[in-house]
Amino acid sequence: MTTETVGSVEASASGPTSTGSRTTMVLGIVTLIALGVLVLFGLILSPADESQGDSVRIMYVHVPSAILSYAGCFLTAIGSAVFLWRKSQWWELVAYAGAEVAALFTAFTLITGMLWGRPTWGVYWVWDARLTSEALLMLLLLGYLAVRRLAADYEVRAKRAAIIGLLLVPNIVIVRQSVQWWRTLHQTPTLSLSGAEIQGLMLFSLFTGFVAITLVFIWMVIHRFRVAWLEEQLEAEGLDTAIAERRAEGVIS
Amino acid sequence: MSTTVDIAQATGTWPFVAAAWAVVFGGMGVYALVTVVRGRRLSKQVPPEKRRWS
Repeated sequence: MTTETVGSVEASASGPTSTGSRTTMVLGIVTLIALGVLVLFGLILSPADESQGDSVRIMYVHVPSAILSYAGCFLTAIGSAVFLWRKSQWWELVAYAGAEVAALFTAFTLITGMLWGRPTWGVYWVWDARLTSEALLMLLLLGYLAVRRLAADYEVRAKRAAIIGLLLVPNIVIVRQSVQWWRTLHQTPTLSLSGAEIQGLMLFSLFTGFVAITLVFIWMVIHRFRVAWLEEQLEAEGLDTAIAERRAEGVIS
Repeated sequence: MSTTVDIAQATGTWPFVAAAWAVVFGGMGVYALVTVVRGRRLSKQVPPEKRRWS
């Protein structure tokens, strides 16, 4: 077994040296295949829309990104609630991982929405209820991540971030219902419990988009969770070492 | 005449479609790469017994 010293931590080069595992490797391969199928159906096989033309193809990445950003927010809210209730570090890290991936997908939703809006509405951005509430969701997620990364005690920053994490849920409800509650330029949901407004290959392409991007989301959350776990282990290790050094110096008892 | 208009509309929307897909696929790729690289770097500093997925 080979060893190397990195900072104050004695590290081992034996065993897996990444956040990957057999499960994530299989998941990654399935995800890449699903993304290939999405490109095939979304950009090549599905027809152009009668009124929107080829810009409808943006829907196959825009709508799944939006739904997965909500999923990330729910994951963060659940993780935050369990952390506040049980003080579980595992759930706190799930919340943290979910928030970062949710922020990424919210950014995708905003950017692809703007790129869809320009050919459809004639403008990239309008301050209507849906777009504004989505932008606020992005700000809330960035706020969560900023607070979570504050240079403070773990318990303090985790607790403060968890409170912000709980606020994500009412915000999602507002984003989701904004097109029903207010008159907006944004269309009403393409998919709902009462059915879909699209059919055939277009519906199948959208379904493919959901499957592929959900797989990406799961893969990302697992890896991001493991990175966060490693960061916390290193921080705890560094703290233990610092306390031991101070004790050796006789500064603290 | 209408065919000419349709072609113009089609060439007008494809750059937006390409940009949207590039943002999503590029963003996912970059984030995945950054996460994996961070994981590899951190894994070398943490003992195997603290990597529960090992």
